[in-house]
Amino acid sequence: MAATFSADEITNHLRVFKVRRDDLLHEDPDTFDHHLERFVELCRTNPLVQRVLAPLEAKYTPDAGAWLEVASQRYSKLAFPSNHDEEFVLRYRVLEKAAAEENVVPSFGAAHGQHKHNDWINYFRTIIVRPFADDLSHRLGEAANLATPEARAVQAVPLSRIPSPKEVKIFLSHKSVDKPMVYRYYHALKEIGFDPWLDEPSMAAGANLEREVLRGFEESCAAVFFITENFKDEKYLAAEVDYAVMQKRKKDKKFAIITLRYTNAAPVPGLLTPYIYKDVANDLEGFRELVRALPLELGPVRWKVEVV
Amino acid sequence: MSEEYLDDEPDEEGHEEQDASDSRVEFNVAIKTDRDQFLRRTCPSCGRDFKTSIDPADIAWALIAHSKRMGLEIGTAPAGQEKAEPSQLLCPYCRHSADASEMHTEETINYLKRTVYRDYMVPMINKQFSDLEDSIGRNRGGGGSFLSVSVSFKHNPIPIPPRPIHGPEPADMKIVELLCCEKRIKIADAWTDVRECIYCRTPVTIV
Repeated sequence: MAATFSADEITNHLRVFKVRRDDLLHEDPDTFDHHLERFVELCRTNPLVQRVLAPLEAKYTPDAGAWLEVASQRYSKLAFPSNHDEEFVLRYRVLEKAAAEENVVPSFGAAHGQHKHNDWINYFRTIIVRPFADDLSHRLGEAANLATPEARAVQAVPLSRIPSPKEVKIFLSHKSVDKPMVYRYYHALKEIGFDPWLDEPSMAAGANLEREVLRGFEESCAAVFFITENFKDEKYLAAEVDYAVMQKRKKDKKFAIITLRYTNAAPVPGLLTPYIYKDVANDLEGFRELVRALPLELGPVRWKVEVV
Repeated sequence: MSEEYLDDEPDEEGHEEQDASDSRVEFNVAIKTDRDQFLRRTCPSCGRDFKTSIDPADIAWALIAHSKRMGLEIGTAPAGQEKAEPSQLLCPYCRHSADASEMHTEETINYLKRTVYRDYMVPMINKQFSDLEDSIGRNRGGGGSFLSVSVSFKHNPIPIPPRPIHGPEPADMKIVELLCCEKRIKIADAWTDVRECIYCRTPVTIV
């Protein structure tokens, strides 16, 4: 089984490969022999390069010596194997020969009309080195991708979209007789990560009801009014409607007034009618409308895009 | 691994097109991105690497900048963006701000330099010396004047070097989705202290 490389190892192997490749292709012709030796040595020893080369070398064994003998005859036609992988291995073998035997590059160049040192090196680079380096680069890219662990994604969230914990409560306004139904909403909202405010569980024993309700509104981003046949716009409920309208004026888009009107319910109080109100047949429908109308996203606590 | 080509595809011989007046040169550069289509960049201030989606315009700006450094005047802006300014980027590590075209890796810069050298400088030098050779050849001989000076000039053309290769680029680093700009970048796996969007400078936090 092939060894698995870490992301750092892959990056390092590729970095070294690219440096040696570019030195071989572009450095001064006087240093070509040195860079050729270094490049061939890298091909033999670099584990990532070997992952590409070794299976192909095991499969194809072109005779580079015989090919060079023909290719080094004056103005001979250069014939490469028709199989792409075999051609790739042949070029590598030619590079090995050129690194080991000093007359390979001059003979090859001279046979093709190149009579100066720089010219035959440039010819060898163009005909043999670059196609091999280009092909190997592509193959290494593929091999590196296979070995790379899946990228992890994170989000950079604008700070303006991250609310304070003191402004994300959801105030549930209701008639006491509807408490069992409102508790179902309370638990469902908690379950999916929101912070609902309900008088009984949210208030300390002995607390002043009016002050606590007002504080509840100040820390909320939404007020939900459950309009059932029991709802009457009077006393505490009337005060809560007033508080909600006040918060809406103060917080604008960061505060939603959501009215859920059940079947056969009392009329929606006049102060609430300019805001979101939905006729709902059951709790599930009501819950869906509530979540949709909130200024917060589902998931990590954030303002919706259109709120900020 | 994918390549981003700028300008037109090379012709069948892989050469760039050049019009008859020699005033227009088209460079075909094949910049490698990683598997996730990100281009590696280096901050010129802190030297650390990050990646962004590739933008052909800022590669073109970089090409022009490096051509100018080599003493060439080969245009002033990418085609179609004559009135635009190069876009600015912020380093996600040190928050250094620079033109996007100045935040390329040494590898990319070398690749662009070699492309300019191969596709513009060498042909231009060869052509100029060839013209000079022709000119001297035509004017040789005194034509009956009292003082005759013979000058000979022989230019050996510089061989066209191999076409440079860019990449390959490993698909390393973690992806950060910038919600403010709806763009994605890549940063070092261990880095979490991104405080501003590298495009629009909106204060952000990594979650």
